[in-house]
Amino acid sequence: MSDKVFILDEIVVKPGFVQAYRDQYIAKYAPGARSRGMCLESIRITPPLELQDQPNTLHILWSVANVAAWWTMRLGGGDRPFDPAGTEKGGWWAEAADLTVSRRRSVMVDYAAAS
Amino acid sequence: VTFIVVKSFAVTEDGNIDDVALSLAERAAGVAGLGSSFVGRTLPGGINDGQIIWRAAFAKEMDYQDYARAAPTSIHNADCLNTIAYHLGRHGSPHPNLRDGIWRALVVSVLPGIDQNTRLRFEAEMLAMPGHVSTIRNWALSRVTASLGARPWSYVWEQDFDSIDGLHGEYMMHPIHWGSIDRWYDIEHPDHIADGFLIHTACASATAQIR
Repeated sequence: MSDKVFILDEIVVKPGFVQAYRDQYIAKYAPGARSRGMCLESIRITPPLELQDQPNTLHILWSVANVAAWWTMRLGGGDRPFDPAGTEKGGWWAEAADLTVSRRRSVMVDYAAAS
Repeated sequence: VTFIVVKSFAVTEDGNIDDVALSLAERAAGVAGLGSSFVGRTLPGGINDGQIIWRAAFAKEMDYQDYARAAPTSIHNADCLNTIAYHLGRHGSPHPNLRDGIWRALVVSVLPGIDQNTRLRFEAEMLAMPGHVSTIRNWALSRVTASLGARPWSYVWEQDFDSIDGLHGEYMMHPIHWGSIDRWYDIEHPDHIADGFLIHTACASATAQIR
C-alpha cells in the first residue's frame, strides 16, 4: 500500500484551556512529529467556538506518506534517534494530560485505499 | 502442557558468538526432561534481544524447576539479559513440519493497573491476527509465569514464518498490524498497555518452534 496514512487525535480539553493546549501542542509536540515525517493537515474545534465552562474537542489530523513512513514515524527515524520505547513522545503526552479530559487516536486511510 | 523458557544473551567483548552458541547447545544436550532446545543467533533489526537466544521446551514445569535449581548461573563470555518462563499459551500450529524458517518473538511487559477485561481484549485481538496475516505459519500467545531481566515480563507472542520476508513484508505492512494491533504497544497511543521497553527478536530456525 503506497497511500497516505492519516492519524487523527481527538482531544477533549478542559474548559478554558483550548488556546493553551493548542499552543503547547504546536510548540512541544509538533516539531518532533514533523521530524518523524508527520505532516499536519488540520486542527479543528468542536463545538465551533471556545467555551469557558464546558470542554472543547480538538480534532488534529496528521498524515504520513505511506505505511513505510508510518513505521518510521512510529519507531523514531527521520532525524530523530531510534526510539522504539517512545520516551520522547511519552513525555509530552504525560505532561499534556493535565490540560485534557480524555483523548483518542485513530489511524485511517482513504476508504478507496482500504484493503 | 509444554513449559517453555527463553533466555537472551549478550556476548561479551572477549567472547565469540559461535563459541557461546555451541556452549549453550552442548549444555542443553545434558538437561533432563528437555523436549526440545533451540539456540539461535538473533537477526539484524531486533530490539533489546542480545545476540543469542536459547528457547527450551520442557514436557513439564517440574522438569524446568529441577533444571533451574541445579543450572549454572552464568555462561562463559556471555551475559544473560532476560529469562522468560511460561506454559505454552493459546496457539495454532498448522505447519509443524515447517523447515528452514524464521522464529520470531515479541516479549512485552504490561503496565501496572491494566484491568483483566482490557488484557482479555488485547489477547483476543492478538490471537485474531493470524486470520489476517497469511505469512504467520504457526503462532502462540503465552502469559509469562516467571521472568528475570529488564522488566517483569507479561506476554510472549511467538510466530514461525517461512522466511524473513513473511515478517518484514506482510506481517509488518498489513493494516491490521499498524492500523489496529500496534496501538496496544505505542506509548503515545491512549490505548497502549505495554511498557515501551520491549523485546523483539527473530532467528533462523531449521524447524518450527511452535508445535
